[in-house]
Amino acid sequence: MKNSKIVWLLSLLLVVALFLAACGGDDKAKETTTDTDEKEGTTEEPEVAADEDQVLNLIMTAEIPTMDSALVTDAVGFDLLNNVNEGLYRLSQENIAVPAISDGEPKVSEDGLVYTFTLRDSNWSDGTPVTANDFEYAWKRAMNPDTASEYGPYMMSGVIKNATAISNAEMEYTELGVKAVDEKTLEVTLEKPIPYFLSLMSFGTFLPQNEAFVTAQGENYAKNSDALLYNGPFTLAKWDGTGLSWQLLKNEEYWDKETVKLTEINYDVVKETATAVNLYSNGEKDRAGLSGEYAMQYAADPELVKEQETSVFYFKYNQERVGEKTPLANVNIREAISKAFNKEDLATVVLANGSTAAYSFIPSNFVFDEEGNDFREVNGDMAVFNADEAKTAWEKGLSELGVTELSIEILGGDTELSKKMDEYFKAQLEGNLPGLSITLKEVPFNVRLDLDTNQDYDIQVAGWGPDYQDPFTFLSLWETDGGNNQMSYSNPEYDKLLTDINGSLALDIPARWEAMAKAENIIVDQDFAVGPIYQRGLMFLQKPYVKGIVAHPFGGDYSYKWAYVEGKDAK
Amino acid sequence: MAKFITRRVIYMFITFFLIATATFFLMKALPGSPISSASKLSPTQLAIVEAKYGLDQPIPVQYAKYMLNLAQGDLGNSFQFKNASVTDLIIDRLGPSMILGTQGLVLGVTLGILLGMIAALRQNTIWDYGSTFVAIIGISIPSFVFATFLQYWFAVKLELFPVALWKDGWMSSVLPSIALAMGPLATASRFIRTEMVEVLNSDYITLAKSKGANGFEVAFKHAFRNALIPLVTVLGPLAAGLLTGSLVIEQIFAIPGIGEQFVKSIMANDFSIIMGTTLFFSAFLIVVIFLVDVLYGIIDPRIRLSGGKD
Repeated sequence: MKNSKIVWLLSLLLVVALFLAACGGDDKAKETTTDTDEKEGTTEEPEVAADEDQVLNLIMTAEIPTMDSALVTDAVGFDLLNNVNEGLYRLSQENIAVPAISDGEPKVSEDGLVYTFTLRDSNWSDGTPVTANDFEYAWKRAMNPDTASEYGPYMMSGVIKNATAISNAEMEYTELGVKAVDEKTLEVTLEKPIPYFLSLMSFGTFLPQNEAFVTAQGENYAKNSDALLYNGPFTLAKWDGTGLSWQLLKNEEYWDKETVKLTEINYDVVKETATAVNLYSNGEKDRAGLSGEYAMQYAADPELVKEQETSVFYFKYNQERVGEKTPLANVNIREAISKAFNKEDLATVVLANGSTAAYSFIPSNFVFDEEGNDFREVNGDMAVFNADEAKTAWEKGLSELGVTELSIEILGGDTELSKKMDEYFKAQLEGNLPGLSITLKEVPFNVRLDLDTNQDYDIQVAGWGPDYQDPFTFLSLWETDGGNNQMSYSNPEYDKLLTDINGSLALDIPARWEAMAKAENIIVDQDFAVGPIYQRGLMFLQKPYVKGIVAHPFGGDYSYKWAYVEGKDAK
Repeated sequence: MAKFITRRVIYMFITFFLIATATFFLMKALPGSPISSASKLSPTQLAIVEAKYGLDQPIPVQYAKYMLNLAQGDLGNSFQFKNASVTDLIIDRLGPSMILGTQGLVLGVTLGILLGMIAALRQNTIWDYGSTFVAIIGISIPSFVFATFLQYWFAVKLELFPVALWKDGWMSSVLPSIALAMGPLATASRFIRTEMVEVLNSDYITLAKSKGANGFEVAFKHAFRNALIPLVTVLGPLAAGLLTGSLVIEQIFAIPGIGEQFVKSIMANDFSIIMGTTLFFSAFLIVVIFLVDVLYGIIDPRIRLSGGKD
């Protein structure tokens, strides 16, 4: 009997011990919960200045990896930096780079190499002035090997003087071609004339950083929202460095604060589309991204908003697989495949997520000439679906190769959408090209990158988004032996055009424009080096009272500087 | 006993060491790089970045360094969160997961026990079938389906609870906890029912009945206590499973927990977070299994773990 009491007691003890073990983090968590509750309370204070609460509640699909402009590499980071900081230039509501911290246009030397910017009077969020040294310091910091920045060397090499040598460890980072002449004058020397240089100045990597502040914070810099300074339309708040929620507050020190109407933007990271849609329909969130079946379900919803992105997806034809020539080394085979599937149906029926068929390698609504003409219009539609032309090219290719049948592999992603798309390719291509059999290989993104690096694939469904507002960011991919040319494409004429575009033609804008169009025509319509598939689109549900959010083609995705709320209370 | 415990503790460290080693090399065999824009960098630039994170060294050297740091309790810095230490990240994310796990476990096990007892005491009646039905539902419907269902009906339609997010204190934890409780509920009720039925048919229960003990006394004082023992064994793995298993639930309810990071870090090749979370989960499981084994040996004298004398 005594024994059984011990058993009873011990079982109980175990249960209690287990719960206690599991409760280890409890106290802390409860504290933080109350903490958020209190903070939540203060955010609901009514705004005196505005007729309506100028508050937006938004969703992000990923956390902020870093807010250090020298280290940022991802979409969320660039998006927020664009809203809390400001560089020499900023993308306007029309997506044209316009002077921001730069007071008007810079003085440019005749050879197009030296830009002298005069800075406007503006302050950091702690009230200290933004100086030319803040730019010099930030850019050099991004090139400093100790910072181990990825985008610093990537964005500055070939652009800012000495950046290439610095990133090849042949020169000290202090030799970078940027100099604060005085408090308000910044002199930037380029490696060669760069026609799109001013639009680069709106990019996150070129933002200023306050030297005194960064040095004082040391290791702690950018670790959370208090360890940062802001000079943009908003300031960041309540961000703990890895958390799933944060806030943007109107920056009272911003030089153009009269334009900013929103007082507050509340963010939460929600990774599930279903959850995002539920939060949206509950009125807790003002905007929710749609994907997969949700895109179809809400296709006719009056609150649906479509956005065209500037990422283009294409067939990457590998001409030499691990040292051995593939059938895709034959231009007729490539032409046949580029023309043998209905892109219109693919975009509207299979993808049905706001994406559009792509008939070019440079996306539409991305770059415009001085009259506002889209670069996309120069070449017209190329590689259009045409079953007859495809078949003719196919038969010609087969006879050149001396075969009657070909088996080709398509390498794609492992998401549901990718798989659906691959099935469609298989059906269309096999149906329109007799003697072709397609095998599908669907792997996670990392595996695909690996196969790409080793050039171990036949056709890859690949995508590219721009890093600056110029067709060159797309065209430079296919330079002979270029870092991304993992498909053994080489055309001396194309290489020559690339050299000219950023060399002899750099200052002759119309001729350069023409040369770029010609280069695009070569890769898409003559050599069929790549086969454009679609330009990605996004679908959102957005409350009708949300106005003035500006979407950008590169850099930060959105600007909230001009956004406001109107008509919410009336509902 | 002391000898047994010492031996077990040594085994625990060996197990932990083996898990750490296996995870480290498996992780290094993953394709891809933790450097997100590796494909955009020139070889020299990439080398500079890799050197900064110690990725330029041979894998055995990286392994030795990692293990040395681990021995000092340093889990390193995250790759995706450029400035965050993994220890801080785990501590920050642990709270919500622990709350959900604990609530899910308590709720599931308590209800499961009740259900199992009712089923056993009312064998082959509607009560029994009902409880079996609930258990089958709990086992066969994945928790995320249940979570989506709860979210839609109790939050969106009836507006009784928050849809998602970790902002309304305890209220935020109700639906995810219920979703999590379904698994343990089913397991517990099946265990209790089976054991109770067996115990109720044993000789000592017949003896107790013949001595005039009433139904309640028989059920609780004699049968339940003994039926509980096997449940105690599965409680450990159940608790650990809830912690790790909550990742889908955390994602659906947008809760800043640890499970959600676990998956993301693997996709991002974030070596230090993969290691940190895996090691944390394994340590938890190892300790729980150890506790259960030790106590189980004491609870049931028929089971001898060490074979020798105490």
